[in-house]
Amino acid sequence: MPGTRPFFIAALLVSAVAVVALAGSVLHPRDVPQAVATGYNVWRATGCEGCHTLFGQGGPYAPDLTGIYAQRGDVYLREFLVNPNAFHPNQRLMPRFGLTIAETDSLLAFLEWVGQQETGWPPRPIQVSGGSGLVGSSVANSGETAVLPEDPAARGRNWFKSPPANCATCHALEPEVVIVGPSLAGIATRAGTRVPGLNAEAYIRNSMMAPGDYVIEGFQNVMAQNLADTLSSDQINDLIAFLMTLE
Amino acid sequence: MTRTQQISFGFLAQAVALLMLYTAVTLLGAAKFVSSDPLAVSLPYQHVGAFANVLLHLSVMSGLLGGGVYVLAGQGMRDDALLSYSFRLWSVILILAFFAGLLGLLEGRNLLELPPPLDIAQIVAILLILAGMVRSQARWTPFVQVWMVGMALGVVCTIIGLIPTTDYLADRTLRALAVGLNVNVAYVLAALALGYWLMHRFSDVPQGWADSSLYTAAGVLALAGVLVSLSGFYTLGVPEWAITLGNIGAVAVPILYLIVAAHTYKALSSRNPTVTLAAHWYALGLLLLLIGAGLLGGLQVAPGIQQWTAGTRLSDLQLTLTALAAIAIVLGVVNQVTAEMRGQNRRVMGLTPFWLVAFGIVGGGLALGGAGLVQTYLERVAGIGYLETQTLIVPLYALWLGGWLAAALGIGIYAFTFWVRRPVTPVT
Repeated sequence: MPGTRPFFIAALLVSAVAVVALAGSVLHPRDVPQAVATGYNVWRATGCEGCHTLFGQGGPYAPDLTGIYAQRGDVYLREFLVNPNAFHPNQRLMPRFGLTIAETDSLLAFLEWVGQQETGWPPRPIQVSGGSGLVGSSVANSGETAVLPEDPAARGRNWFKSPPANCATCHALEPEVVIVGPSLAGIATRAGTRVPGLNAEAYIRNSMMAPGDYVIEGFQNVMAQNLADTLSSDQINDLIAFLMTLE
Repeated sequence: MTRTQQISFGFLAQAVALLMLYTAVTLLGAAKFVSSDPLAVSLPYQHVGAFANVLLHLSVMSGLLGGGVYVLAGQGMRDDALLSYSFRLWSVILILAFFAGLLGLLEGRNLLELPPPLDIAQIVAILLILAGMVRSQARWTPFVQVWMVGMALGVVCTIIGLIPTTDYLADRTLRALAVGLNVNVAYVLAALALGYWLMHRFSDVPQGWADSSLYTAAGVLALAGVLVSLSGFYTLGVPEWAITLGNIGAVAVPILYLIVAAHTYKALSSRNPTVTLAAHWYALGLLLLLIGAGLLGGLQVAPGIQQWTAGTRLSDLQLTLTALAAIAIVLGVVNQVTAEMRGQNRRVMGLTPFWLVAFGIVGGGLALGGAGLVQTYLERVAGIGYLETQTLIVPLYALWLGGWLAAALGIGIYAFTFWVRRPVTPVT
């Protein structure tokens, strides 16, 4: 059949043009912070991609981690990397890599950077689920508590992700993301409608002091019951001030 | 048997041996999805998965090289020193890759796990063969052209995969390009050329029709393969025109693969007295290509679908089935070459391994595809966590493992028969 060889050549040329055009529109190598570049080296050296995916690329054995930094936060991930299997007992095991603090820092900087890239993917958060926060932080982020901000809400944000409260271990600030407890995105708006007679601030305070009083449907009463003992009144007020900003 | 034929047979023997190893390692990896893993610390999945990926890649490449060299020898290619050098270098690459895999020394880039020095050696080995072919090949037949384009593209993909960058998004772009084009276009074109050579052996289709059909099929598969490959960019953020192109491509891709299937049907329905199982293996290869690249590839090209399926077992399966399609065609070539070297018009490897492999891969693939569908719905749409979803789809993983067990048994029998019935008497 005449013309099939030219068709083959034309198809190759069209394919090459499509590849160059699309790759050219996506490929814009930029300088990235050194910590991020180092973090990527740690990611490769430890073979994370053999099990995990980022942007949907990688191995199929473990969850996608594109948004993991925003979902779980720095404190949780540091704890997790020290002893992953304590967080998911009786489930798929992740090896302990014995990362140094510097390696952990750079890996987390890398994951934070990945989550900040505005690629439009995933269309909704992909959850790992499971995971219960460990009691007794082995990698306490004590540096963050050294100088506290003036603003109560800013201090509350600090307590949210730091000891002794560490709320971020179980609660996400992203909508629809469930770590262990419900997402707290929009809590300031929602809280006032939960229980008749309780305004938003009162409901939040009650939920911290007596978590079992109003357990949200679909969740269990597994929140720490002793926050009234472990947190100072100032810390509780700071946390409430912060949560009241989440409209 | 000429020196060139010996070399081609050596490549094919390597392909079969690597395939056996791949099957064993994949079985181990699949078992880790089904139950609690006692080897989670001593032999974690990341090592097993990376090793399996490397073995599959090297098996496909060995088979495509071996098949290509055999066909070229039949088309008048003279013995060439470059071929010998290439074969020795390739053998060294395989040994080093095997030990790198055993020792967990592979690269931490999914599907690009071969260490860079071995990648470079791989490029050199393929270029030596292509150079030897150019030096000694008198006839530039359609087979030579399509096969050569496939192998040359494989080299280009390897080079793309070696480009260093500290920007992770750029790295992902290069990886998507290197992996996608290598599997969906390079493997497919080289395997297609071998498939059309097989077609001459098992059917009565006229030479002129087969030649023009090969050009058409290769052009069509190149376009379709590129569309499937470029869909790997969607999650990295693409311009609006790429989304439009993807929506058109999602309809076009399955049709393009069906066009190639229709061409092959003409050959399969016009059989000659050859009794080898080349036609069976080629048909299996085409079926896997239709499922892996045509159906799953078409779904992946649709941006609205791919945003939900990226990173699930569906995208994983697309690449695996396409690579296994190339492997099925290579096994057909091995079957045909062994029969020809023995000077006998016989089945050689028999139907038992064929049906075991066919049922195993297709059945296991369907189970894994089902797992991917359920995973997509539960994890991505319903918002159930990854770990909980994985627990829920264990029954489908068990079916997948069962399929692979059957395929492994089939490949084991195939390899055993291949060894027992290897050509020991030189045939002219």
